Amino acid sequence: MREEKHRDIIAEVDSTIREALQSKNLLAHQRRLAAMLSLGAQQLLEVYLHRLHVIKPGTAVKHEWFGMGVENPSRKLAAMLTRPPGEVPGLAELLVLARVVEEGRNDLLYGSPLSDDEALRKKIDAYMHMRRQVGGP
Amino acid sequence: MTSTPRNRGREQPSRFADGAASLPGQPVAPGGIGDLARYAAAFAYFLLACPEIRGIRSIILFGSVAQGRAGPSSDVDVLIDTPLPPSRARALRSSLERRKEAFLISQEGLAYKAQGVFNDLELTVGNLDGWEEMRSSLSAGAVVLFGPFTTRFAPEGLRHHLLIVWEGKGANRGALLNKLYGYGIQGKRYKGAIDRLSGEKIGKAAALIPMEHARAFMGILEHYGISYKVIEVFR
Repeated sequence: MREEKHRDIIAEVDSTIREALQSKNLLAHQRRLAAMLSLGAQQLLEVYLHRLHVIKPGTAVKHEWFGMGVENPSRKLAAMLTRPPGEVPGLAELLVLARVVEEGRNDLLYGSPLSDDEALRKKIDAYMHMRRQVGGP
Repeated sequence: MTSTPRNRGREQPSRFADGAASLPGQPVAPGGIGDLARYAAAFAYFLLACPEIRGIRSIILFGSVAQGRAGPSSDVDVLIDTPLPPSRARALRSSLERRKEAFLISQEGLAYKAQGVFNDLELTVGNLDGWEEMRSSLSAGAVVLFGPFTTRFAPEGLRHHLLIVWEGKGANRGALLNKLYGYGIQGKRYKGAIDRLSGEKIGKAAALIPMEHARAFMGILEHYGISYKVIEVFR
């Protein structure tokens, strides 16, 4: 995917987050946030890897990998990177953050409404830190 | 003698197509110093909203943000002034640090992160009474976010004054002069505002007024339509 398309998607994710925060009622945006944060984390990781020129052309990061524990995402990524994951600077930190974002994604999307927004806030915080690490558009 | 700080940030955010501020790769306050000061104020409010936290006398923004010379990644220095004894002040500090962590992932904190504000909040906790070094530091520029306005923040042994310099004659020069310097009628002397407010005449149109009375003195000048300038003085 070209970087402009990544930028557009990330901008849409950012806009969703801003809107939810400005509404001061994150719970009313539960499903939208769960979906967009997961999408945003996946997009940020792809952008990051593209910028470092370590991802093979035509490959795509899958958001499901982020929820596969600690080691499995690196193993999945190894097949699509031009160097071992351990040699990609900052990747480990991004995967930790992505895991926070992805954890419980399906429950938030398809399950019962939350009574407390702490989980959503932690995911937004993790996404923001990913955003900061990856940098601007 | 010090002049009132007037420096302000000049940074401008990059923008997305929807007009919202982008999220930069570094901790930058898109609006500059103003955003960091508001961030500190939001944090102060968050602290005060917690009923379990007690013993805060004042919350003061100091350091580079208060002095208008903060950079993109400057820490936001916040002093928590407390009269608590040292052992209880330590417990307060622990509570404040936990509350700070909660603020960082609160809606308020996340809203600031969405504007690119990731600057660290550095907490300093202590009793300003007798803390000479901190009071000297505050005199270089500080913003009281919570607490009474008081000259306690002046360096030890010094009192906070305003040097007020005015010009123009205003609508009623005679009445103004009487009001400021006093007058005598039938052998009786009536004090002027400078004396009544424990001030000191410095020059032809200048007076040194203790800070706690400065507003009253400025009100007199404003009433007579007189323009003035002020300079903060500690002596």
